[in-house]
Amino acid sequence: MRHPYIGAIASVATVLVLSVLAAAQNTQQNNAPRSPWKYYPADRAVGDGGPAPKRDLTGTWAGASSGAAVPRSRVNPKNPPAPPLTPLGQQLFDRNKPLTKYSPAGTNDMHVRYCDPYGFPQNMTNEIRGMTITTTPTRTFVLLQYMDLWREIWTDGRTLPTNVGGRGRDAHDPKYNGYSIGHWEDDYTFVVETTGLTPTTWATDSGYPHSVDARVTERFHRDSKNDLTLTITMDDPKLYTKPFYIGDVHFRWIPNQQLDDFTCIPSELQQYLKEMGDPAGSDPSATR
Amino acid sequence: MRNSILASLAAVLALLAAYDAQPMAQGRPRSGGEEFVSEGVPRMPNPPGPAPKRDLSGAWVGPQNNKPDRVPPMTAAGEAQFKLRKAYGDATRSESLGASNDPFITCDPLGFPRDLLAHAVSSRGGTLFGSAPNRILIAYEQQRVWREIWTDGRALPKAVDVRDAPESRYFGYSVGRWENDTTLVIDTTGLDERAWLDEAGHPRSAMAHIQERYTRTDQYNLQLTVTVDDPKYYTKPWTFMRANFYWMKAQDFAETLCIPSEAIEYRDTLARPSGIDAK
Repeated sequence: MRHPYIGAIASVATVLVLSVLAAAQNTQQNNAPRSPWKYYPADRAVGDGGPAPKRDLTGTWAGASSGAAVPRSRVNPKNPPAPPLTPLGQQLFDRNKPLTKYSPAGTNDMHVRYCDPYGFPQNMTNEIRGMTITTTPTRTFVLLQYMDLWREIWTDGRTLPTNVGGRGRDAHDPKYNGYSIGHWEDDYTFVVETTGLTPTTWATDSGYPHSVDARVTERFHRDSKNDLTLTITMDDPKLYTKPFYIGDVHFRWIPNQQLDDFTCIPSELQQYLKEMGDPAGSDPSATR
Repeated sequence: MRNSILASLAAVLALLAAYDAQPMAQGRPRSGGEEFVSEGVPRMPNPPGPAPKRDLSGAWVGPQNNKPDRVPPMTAAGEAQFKLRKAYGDATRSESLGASNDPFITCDPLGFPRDLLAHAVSSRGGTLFGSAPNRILIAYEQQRVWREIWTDGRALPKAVDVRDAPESRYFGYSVGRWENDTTLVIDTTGLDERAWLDEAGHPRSAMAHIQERYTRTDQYNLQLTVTVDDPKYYTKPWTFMRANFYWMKAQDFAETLCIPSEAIEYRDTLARPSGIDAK
């Protein structure tokens, strides 16, 4: 799919669009010849596939927005119930105008307005279509279908940086994807800790903020050969009075391991906003 | 480097940077968060050891000393496409930023193989090879994008964007094979024509055939040759790129991203204050 501006409004209509798409594709796919280069959402892994292999997440997985009937989250990570905010957290939250409440013309979500990076952790919960995981001796890589983005998780035993965004020679720059380390908690659970996040991005689609010092914990649990569950928790005492359970994201093994392209194209998004989404050019994000 | 304002400016310096990029892996400290990886930096034997067999995995810097052939004469269709392109930052045919329609000015995807040149934002062409079942995965520093190279023996798609065929993609569809123990050959087609071939604005058609040949000459050196065969737009094939990559000591990349909101703001407030659109 190469309709990037759909990405900007997709969160409003995701369920409906995907249901219609899946139904249409199901009908088409029953008779059409198969190309090894195409992703067929109706070609799904059957059952759990047997026990999970030990300490192995490698391969390509379908997420909730893939059209492959992947189980929905118990807690919607795009709009989770947040713990009480600190005064600073409330102030930041009040500034954010998510698409779901403010429409394309009224939102200041920089991804919706410009295709700016979601940043982590939102990029693990929003537009989760497909994901590939691979490892090297010292790193695990998470490669996302949406935006063709990859992030790296160091597994060589290093510790997270303690000075990100601060002053001094030893300070690290904040990153959209932060700094990540990971370890196997048991044979089926890979735990990732991340900090040093670019503070202008949002933690959730609904506009909850995070600080540069937020510490996000991801737990990738391989339930079976065909099932993977990710749970995400954020501890950010500057902005929240308690740890924030952002939610759970489910994945299913893709039999032919193939993904489609799906990305947000900035120039096309601008054209969409000009012609349809925000013809008056209000752009509330410009005042950020 | 996350300053996309610089991204727009950097195109001016692109050729210079790409044709004579300095090695960045030879112990010189790099700014930003790279101290994060200092604990993991391995010792570097000197001289380098032999190339491991059928293994490019790890992170590389480049391209260095790129020496491409001249672009051959275009077909009439190629010329027609080329005339529509208003390049920015190319030494041979540069427009002002406000007049250019280079898609990367708004951070649209560079696409393949333009992303290999890795100098639209900077000369930092970090490239990382990994693997998954039946695949080699290549991740790029610039824009943090990735592509996959299938090694299961499948044939490339014969067509794209027609019924039952896959859609064209910015990075195309790729298959790879080891020609010998040190040379990986990758063939790619099925490209999205919106992306430019290079910063001059040369076109490439959806069914252009692009071949990369990666030869690991020793533990730390990797040579890349890229040829383009696109009879729709060019009268003959040519070597688009001939460059070296060097083993990255720290094995880590900075986030080298073009941020659309910053790039568009820069274009609109500084380079195109009147709002005149080149398209």
